[in-house]
Amino acid sequence: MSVDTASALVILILLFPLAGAALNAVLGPRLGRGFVNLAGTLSIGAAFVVACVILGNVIAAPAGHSAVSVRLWQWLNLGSGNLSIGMDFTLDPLSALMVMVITGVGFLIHVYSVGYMEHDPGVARFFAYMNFFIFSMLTLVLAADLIILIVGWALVALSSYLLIGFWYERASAVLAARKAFITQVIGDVALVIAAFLIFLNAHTLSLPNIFARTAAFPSGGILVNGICALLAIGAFAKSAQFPLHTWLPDAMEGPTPVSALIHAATMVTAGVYLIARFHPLFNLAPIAGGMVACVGMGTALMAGIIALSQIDIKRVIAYSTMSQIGLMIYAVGIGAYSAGMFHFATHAVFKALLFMAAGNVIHSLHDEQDIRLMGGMAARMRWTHWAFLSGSLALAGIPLWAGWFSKENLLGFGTVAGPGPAPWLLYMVGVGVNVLTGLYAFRLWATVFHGEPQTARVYAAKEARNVLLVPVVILGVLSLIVAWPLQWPVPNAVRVFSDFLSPVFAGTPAGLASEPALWIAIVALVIGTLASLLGVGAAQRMWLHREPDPAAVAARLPRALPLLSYNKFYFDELYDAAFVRPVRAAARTARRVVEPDVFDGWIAGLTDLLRGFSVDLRAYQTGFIRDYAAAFTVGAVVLVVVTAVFLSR
Amino acid sequence: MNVPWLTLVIVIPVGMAILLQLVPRSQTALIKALMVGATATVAVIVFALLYNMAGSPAGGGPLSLHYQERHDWIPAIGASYHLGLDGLSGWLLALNAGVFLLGALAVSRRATDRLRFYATLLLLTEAATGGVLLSADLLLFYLFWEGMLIPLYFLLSNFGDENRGRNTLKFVIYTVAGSLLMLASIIWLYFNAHLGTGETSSFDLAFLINHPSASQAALVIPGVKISTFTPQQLVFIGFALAFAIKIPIVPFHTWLPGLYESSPPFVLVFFAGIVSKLGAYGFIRYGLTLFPQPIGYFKWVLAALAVLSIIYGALMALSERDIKRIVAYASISHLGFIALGIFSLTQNGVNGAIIQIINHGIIIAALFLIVGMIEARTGTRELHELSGLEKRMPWLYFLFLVATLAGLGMPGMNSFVGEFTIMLGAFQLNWIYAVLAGGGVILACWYMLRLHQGLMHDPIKPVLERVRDIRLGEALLLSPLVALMVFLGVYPRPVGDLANPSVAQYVSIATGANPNPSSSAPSAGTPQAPQ
Repeated sequence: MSVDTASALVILILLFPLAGAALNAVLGPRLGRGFVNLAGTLSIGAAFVVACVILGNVIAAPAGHSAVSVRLWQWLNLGSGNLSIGMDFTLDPLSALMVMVITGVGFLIHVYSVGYMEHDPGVARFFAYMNFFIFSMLTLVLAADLIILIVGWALVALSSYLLIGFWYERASAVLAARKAFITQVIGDVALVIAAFLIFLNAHTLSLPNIFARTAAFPSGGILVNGICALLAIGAFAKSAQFPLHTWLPDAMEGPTPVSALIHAATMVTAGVYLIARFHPLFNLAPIAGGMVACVGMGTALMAGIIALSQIDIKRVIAYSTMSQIGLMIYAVGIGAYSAGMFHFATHAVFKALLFMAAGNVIHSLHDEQDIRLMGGMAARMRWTHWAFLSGSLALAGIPLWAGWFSKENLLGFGTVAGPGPAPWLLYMVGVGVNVLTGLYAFRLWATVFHGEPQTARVYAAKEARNVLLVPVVILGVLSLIVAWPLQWPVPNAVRVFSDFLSPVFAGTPAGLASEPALWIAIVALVIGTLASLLGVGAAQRMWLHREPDPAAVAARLPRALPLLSYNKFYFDELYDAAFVRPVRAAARTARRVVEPDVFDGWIAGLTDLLRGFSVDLRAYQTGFIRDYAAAFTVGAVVLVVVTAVFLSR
Repeated sequence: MNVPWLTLVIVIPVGMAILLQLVPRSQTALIKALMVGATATVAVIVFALLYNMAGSPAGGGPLSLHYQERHDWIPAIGASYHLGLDGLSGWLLALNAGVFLLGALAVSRRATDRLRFYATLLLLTEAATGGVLLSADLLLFYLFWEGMLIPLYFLLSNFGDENRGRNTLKFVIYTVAGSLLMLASIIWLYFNAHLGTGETSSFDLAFLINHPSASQAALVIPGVKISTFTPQQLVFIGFALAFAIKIPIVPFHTWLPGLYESSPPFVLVFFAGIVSKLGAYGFIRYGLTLFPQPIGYFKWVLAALAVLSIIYGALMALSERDIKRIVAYASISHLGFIALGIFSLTQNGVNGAIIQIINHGIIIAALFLIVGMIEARTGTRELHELSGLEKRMPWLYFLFLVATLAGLGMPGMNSFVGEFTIMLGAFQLNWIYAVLAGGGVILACWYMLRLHQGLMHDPIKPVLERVRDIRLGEALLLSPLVALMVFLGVYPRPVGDLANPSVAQYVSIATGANPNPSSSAPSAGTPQAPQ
């Protein structure tokens, strides 16, 4: 692919969503719903076509030439040795994969949104934000300069903020949007500081140049570990990983298509992409990599536990997203980059599906989200139910569904790679997460679609219309078949996907994430699959057949466990007490005490001093001639005496 | 023909101010047209100068001025009428021309019944601030610096709410106190210039840079050691106080919130837009060049005060309830960034400061206009009395959104460019400054969203249901500012290209380094295309 072709493709794929956003924002309110729907979806459809061309070009590129960088313009130039930044973009297998998923899944979600937002008066604003999100996300994954990447990174957070707070008259949505944005900014600051460290050592912020100068970062040193830890903090904020994860469940305040697109399929996986993109540095930073792996797996476990007890249908799926992204983060942390990216791709499909199917349920129940008030939906929403089941099977990792391929592939690497002396430990946690995933996925499925209908609304529920159903069904089919031709979780089986990405990750040293031996892989596969089946089976018994009753099971557990799960480990309360309240208190103190008494005080003190002096002086201005004459006499005498004494010496 | 363009930048506003006295007070349309015409003419001249400057060769000497005009003024003491323009003063002059044009446009004929008075004072202020930026002679600089206070005093004490008198007095006393110390310092510099044989001293900036005073031991009076500072350091403090008060840096900031609160938006667009930047300009132009040793000595303290301004301003903005005061404290926080960039004494930091000076002028003008528009419609500035305005004011919401994002340093917006380069410079000084400034960025996000969401989101209060969206004229006033925020965010290069050569010069003087460092660091060129 020539540079000219590449620049044309980059400009086109960025321009379509941006134009869609601008048209919807400016003309949308005037030209009406039909125009908005067309402009909103077609712009993403067009971007998807461009993405396919990009993919074709990248596949067709001769070996060793799969990456092309283009510069659209010089962004800033402060002279040699100082900042010099170009508006640079790169097309390579990794970015091609990302744009395919973003525009492909994104297009289906946009089509779904046409139906979902049908009665909302703010539909033009909605599509403007959604298109803008796609533009931001594409900027993020195509950027070939760290600054441009940070710009995309932040614009993504902005679109997320705008869409979480889309229903701005709901106070809870407004607060959720603010919380999400501030958390993102914490991540941004970490990224910016990482950029400083990179720049001061490699003297460039252009990604290809950074990766060509890895000699500037001594392997295993404190510098590269520090940089990677900072990058990872940015990734944690974006991907809702511990300890920056609390914004994601609240983000469910946004319309459901937003949850599907941004808070499941694309934006929240940007952290995985970031670490995969910076793999040349992470390869040199085993300590930071180990930290990433631990945080990822820890988040996967924690979110899985929380998902078990939540009662809001979208929040359950949100915690499952957090858990699955934890697995991806774990994978890229141990160096299994392409395995992590593969789980990202399949997860985008089945998680978008789950959210949209849940959206159909919510819609048909007139915005009911409490799963305790559902039940028996399968009989009323057949298609949605089958699609949701397909998505749940994929999520739980049941053989032949997409999630099985990607998750078992990922855990297979965990048998041989991992931080510290006992990489097996994290792998074992991963097996536990498999059980949890089966449990919470099928708890949700059983509670929502089976059992007795819990309210009158359920009896009145009807299947969603075609515009809401077709994207869901397409993704339902894809959740089953998408992984078949791509990658199998056994060494030397089908490995189209990892071969496609291998030019990107070529430099990864053999010690990191080498593939497990065949027998280990097969044993791991059997164990992992059995764990998933165990989780699904247990969920079936508990929530479908009520033997044993889940409440009875919970009662037998230590009392703290269900409490911690239901209250999300009290992180919101903890952060409120540890950060929000102290800052508020400091701000209040500044306003009530410091400003008036200290900063204004010292000036006031000075002026009071001067005023007091002048008041004292004024006392001598009596207006009586005799006083002045006396003062004059005394003064004259003193002057004469002093002069005489002085002269006589 | 040799047109004295620089002089015209000062003379046109003064001339128009005089001319306006011949127009009857009641002819408000004509008065406004003349005021806009004069400021627009100046803007055209300035931008033409900048446009030409990119290609024109710079003069020699320590300042690398692109344009100069020089005439004898008081030859007996070596003071001259010496104007000069370089990459630093060029961008500030552009900002100056822009904000005064905005101020001229922003005042509606109904806003005041004393439009001629306002126009006269605005034009005189523009002439004075233009003179401050153009002077290349310390005495001339001081003349303009002090002269600026006279029209400003009348402006601030005549337009605004009932507290304006008290607040203006506070401002004037603060500023004059600082300036008098600066005058003493200027005279000291004049008498202590290290002269060669046959040379007489001069107030010319380039001369004083080339003839620094011989370094002297700490000032000691027999018996009583009053200070451990050298005379140069004390003299620098004289300058620094004047500039620090003008910026202002915490703890010299208390004149600002009250004064901003009591002033109308059409005054604030240029008062907050340019006047506060003159302190930062002074630090770069005079602090870095005349006091390389003292500024290097004090940079740790000064940078720490800058960081204090960032954090403290942010905290105050977080707890204030009056939306105008929130913006005022946000401004203090942003100005702290500018100061931090300067005191990093690195090329990145100072460039970032200049970029941020431009950006902040644009952002703060927009924010004060927006706050003014909201106050004019709702009759209140209390945050808790306002909510849900997006429903009634979708256009203002959009423009305010962009301004908010620029205000919180959103990547992709103009202020990110400045804050990033400033923080990079601060990081080069010491990483802790950059990390603390990063905390300021997080707080900025918090207080800007508190302001924006508090005004625009949540259910609308019933009394606000009849509020109307902004008119076309108001939208046209804000749109160029908002467009610039985006444009300079995606294409900040022009600012850096023009300012960087001057900055390289200033920083090399300040740090005593070679102005053109050898390219020991590998240049950050185009990315390596494997194909």
